[in-house]
Amino acid sequence: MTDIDNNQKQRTAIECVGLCKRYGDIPAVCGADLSVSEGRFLALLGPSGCGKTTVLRLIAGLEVPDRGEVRVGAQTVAGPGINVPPEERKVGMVFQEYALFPHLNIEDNAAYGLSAYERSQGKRAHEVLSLVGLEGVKDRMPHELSGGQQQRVALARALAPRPDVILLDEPFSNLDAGMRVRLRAEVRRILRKAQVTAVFVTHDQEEALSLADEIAVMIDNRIVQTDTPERLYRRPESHMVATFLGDANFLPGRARNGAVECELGTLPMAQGTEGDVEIMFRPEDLVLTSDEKGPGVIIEREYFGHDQLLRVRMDSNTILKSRLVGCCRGLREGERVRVKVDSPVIAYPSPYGCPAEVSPLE
Amino acid sequence: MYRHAGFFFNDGMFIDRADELNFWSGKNRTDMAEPSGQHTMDRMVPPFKPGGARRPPLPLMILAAGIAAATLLPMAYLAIRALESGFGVFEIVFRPRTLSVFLNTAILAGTVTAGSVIIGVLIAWLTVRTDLPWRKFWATTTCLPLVLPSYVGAFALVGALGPTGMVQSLLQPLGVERLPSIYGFPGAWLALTLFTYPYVQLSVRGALRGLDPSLEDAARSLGRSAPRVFREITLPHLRPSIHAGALLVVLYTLSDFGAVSLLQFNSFTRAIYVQYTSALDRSAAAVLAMMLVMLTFVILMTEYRMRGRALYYRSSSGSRRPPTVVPLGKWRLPALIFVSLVSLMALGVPLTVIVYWLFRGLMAGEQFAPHAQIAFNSLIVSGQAAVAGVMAAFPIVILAVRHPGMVSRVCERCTYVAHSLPGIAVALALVFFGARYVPALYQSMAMLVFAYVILFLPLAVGSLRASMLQLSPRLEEAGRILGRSSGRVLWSVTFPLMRPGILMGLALVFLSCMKELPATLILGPTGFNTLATRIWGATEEAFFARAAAPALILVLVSAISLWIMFAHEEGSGSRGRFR
Ligand SMILES: Nc1ncnc2c1ncn2[C@@H]1O[C@H](COP(=O)(O)OP(=O)(O)OP(=O)(O)O)[C@@H](O)[C@H]1O
Ligand SMILES: [Mg+2]
Repeated sequence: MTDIDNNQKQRTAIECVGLCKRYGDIPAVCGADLSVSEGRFLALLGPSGCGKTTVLRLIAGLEVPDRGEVRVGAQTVAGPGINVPPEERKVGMVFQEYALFPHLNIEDNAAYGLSAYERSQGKRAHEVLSLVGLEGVKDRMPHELSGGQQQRVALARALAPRPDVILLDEPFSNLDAGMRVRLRAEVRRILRKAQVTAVFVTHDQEEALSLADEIAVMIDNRIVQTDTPERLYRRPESHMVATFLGDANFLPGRARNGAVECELGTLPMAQGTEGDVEIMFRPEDLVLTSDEKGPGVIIEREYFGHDQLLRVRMDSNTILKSRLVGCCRGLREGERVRVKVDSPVIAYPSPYGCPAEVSPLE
Repeated sequence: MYRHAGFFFNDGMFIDRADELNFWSGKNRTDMAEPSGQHTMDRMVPPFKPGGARRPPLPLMILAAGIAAATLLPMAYLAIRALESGFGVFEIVFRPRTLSVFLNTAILAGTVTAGSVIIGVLIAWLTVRTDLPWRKFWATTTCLPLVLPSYVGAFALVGALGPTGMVQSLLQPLGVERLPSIYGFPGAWLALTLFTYPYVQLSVRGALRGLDPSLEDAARSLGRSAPRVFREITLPHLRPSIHAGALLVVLYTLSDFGAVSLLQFNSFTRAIYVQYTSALDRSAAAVLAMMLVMLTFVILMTEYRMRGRALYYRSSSGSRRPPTVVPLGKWRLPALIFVSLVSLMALGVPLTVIVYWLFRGLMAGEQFAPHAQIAFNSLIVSGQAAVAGVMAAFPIVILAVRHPGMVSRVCERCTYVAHSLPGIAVALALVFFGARYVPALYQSMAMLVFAYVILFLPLAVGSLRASMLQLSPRLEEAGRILGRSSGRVLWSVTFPLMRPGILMGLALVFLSCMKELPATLILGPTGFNTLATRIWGATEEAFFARAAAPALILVLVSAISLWIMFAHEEGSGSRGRFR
């Protein structure tokens, strides 16, 4: 919590308040609030079609919001009666399809956003191209570069006019898996070096968790939670976010005095309400111990190398997921196990409506 | 001559025509039945999401709407002018002379269409599906008559078979006093049929090639005889393409001025011209023009109705097995004679006649200097129209591609109205309009250029549109975000990337203007001659030698325009890097 509090004292680079945008009858964004502090990376994470690109385009000025406001730095660039055209927003953007100008060579592409004077000097273009490690190909045409190189040129071109903010729309989605991982780290380094605030769109959780300072989760055209990657994973604010980001176990329960009674006994609660609740814990928090008389049986095992996912059916027919890191501790399908939740659980107001059956185990 | 001559060369050539048809049908381009199973330019274009449903900038909208209105205005005025004579209208419409003109036109259109369909379907079938020797060669030569503007064809016919024509002068020493007259219906029918059947042939050819041979095989395996298969399977598949080709032929015939006037057949276009030049009261010309416009409308509407009901077949694109070849057997020789005869009549004779008269002229010491001046005239006025046309097309295209919606659709479609009407009616409308409201421009070059622009604007719109559709809006957005205003982005990104389309639009409008006859004849300043009017004038006065050189130049011009469209078709697949 303190971490975030500190950061909010920093100046905000981008702020969106209640942004709404429809395309005809199709809602694309309904009430998006977003705030990014200077110098930080925010990932906009969500399933396909939830409106991520639209949010970026609204910030860049490529679309006009139906409602809401956009501020870049101290300036309101979109709002009631205000619409600053994109060329005056000092916002850089890297398009998903890169959008390099096919009739200009790499150097001219990189220099496109510069003033005539800077262009004639040629210094800045050279600077950004060497920042992305591509000064050697400056005379080539865009179609003579590989996908990864094109992507870096697009980044250099966006950085050249020294924008305060840079927006990246699924910057890695057109690359193959190996390239993606390499470029991710590279882009992060480049952006840190250029000291810009960045918002990038992705539907890849791993990308968002590994790259961003903060993640805004967008589901059904709304931003449902914005937090650091750790908090988002450990403390999702809703059932929806918990399922969208990683695996989760859910059980009905009844909360009282900071603890919750459920099928697995009385468990400590990290936060939450009183009364009927639904509790959530991650599969890696569920510890299994081999026990002949245990209440669960392993029904399925998926092995991934660095970890494995086990599915346990309790005698009450509830199915729980458990993730074990490291080598298998002799757990096999069909084996009976004892289960224990290793860390405080999260509780959400119960979606079930009626009081859950709570029966203490053992 | 109908302005779509040449708009048809291979399968993809339906595009512009298709656009125009869609104007009338109100259908989406993609709903259009494609007579061939091949792709059109449109389908090669990746479906870019438009840059959102942003409202188009007001200046752009005003500009585009202004241009669209300018193309409609003269036509609207024609109606007003025709109705001005009040009850006189009825008097003109129900004149016996008008009735005979109407009948002449209807009969000509009907017989030319029938002849073209028969010749076109036969040749298409022979060159696609049978073991006719040298099929490729025949397929090409039988299409080539498309390069002959109808008045050049008529010139060739008159120059060959006319009273002082080539054949007559060759036979004179043998004691032949007089050939049967080619003037009137027979000549007009022959000329128009010979120069329009390629439309049917090309459209049917596309359909035949796209036809899935397994359908026919399946029918054969189910016990049907070959002729029954042709009737029950093949023909229904060809019907849409025959319709499409026949429609082009009908429209061509209705709007043709060159052939009917030179061959002195009194159909609408000639009657309008005669009324216009000879009568003091021009109301009759206006009423006749209005009738012709309405006839064109009726045909387009009828066609649309029929198309709406007809079932359209699309061939599956998966099967690439070559269709089964039908052995001609004892019909081989007659088939060969048939295609040779058609090629000879439609291509061999005209070219021979042109060359013959060119030599006769040379021998007789015909001066070529005046031709240079005339060619220069053609060049200048067509060049101006090409530049103006492309400039006028830009706002329409930007609106249509980047801001699709009601307004842009209406604007785009408006530009097709003048284009799909007979040139002489459009020209006449402009004369009336100019004489009444802008007398300063009446019979000026500016008026002629304006006429060319509204007649050929869709050609420019089509080419620009195709090339703009290939241009991702992301590129323009990238330019904006990098700090350049929309105007500067247009200049530094959009225009350079659309260069192929711009050049193509310039070329198409330029070449069409070079060939245009009735508008030039009616709207050109007094004493102003172009290649087209020179051929027409010289032929009418039987100075064949004088028409030969311009005719040759025009044939080359049409050949180039066809070649450009051909090359563009071939090339459009390989321009991936601009996407
Ligand atoms: N130009 C447009 N016209 C109409 N609808 C649009 C347009 N652009 C986006 N939409 C719709 O708006 C919604 C949000 O689109 P958006 O592109 O913002 O989604 P996204 O989250 O970026 O999806 P993806 O991950 O697939 O890129 C979608 O339902 C989409 O179909
Ligand atoms: Mg997107």
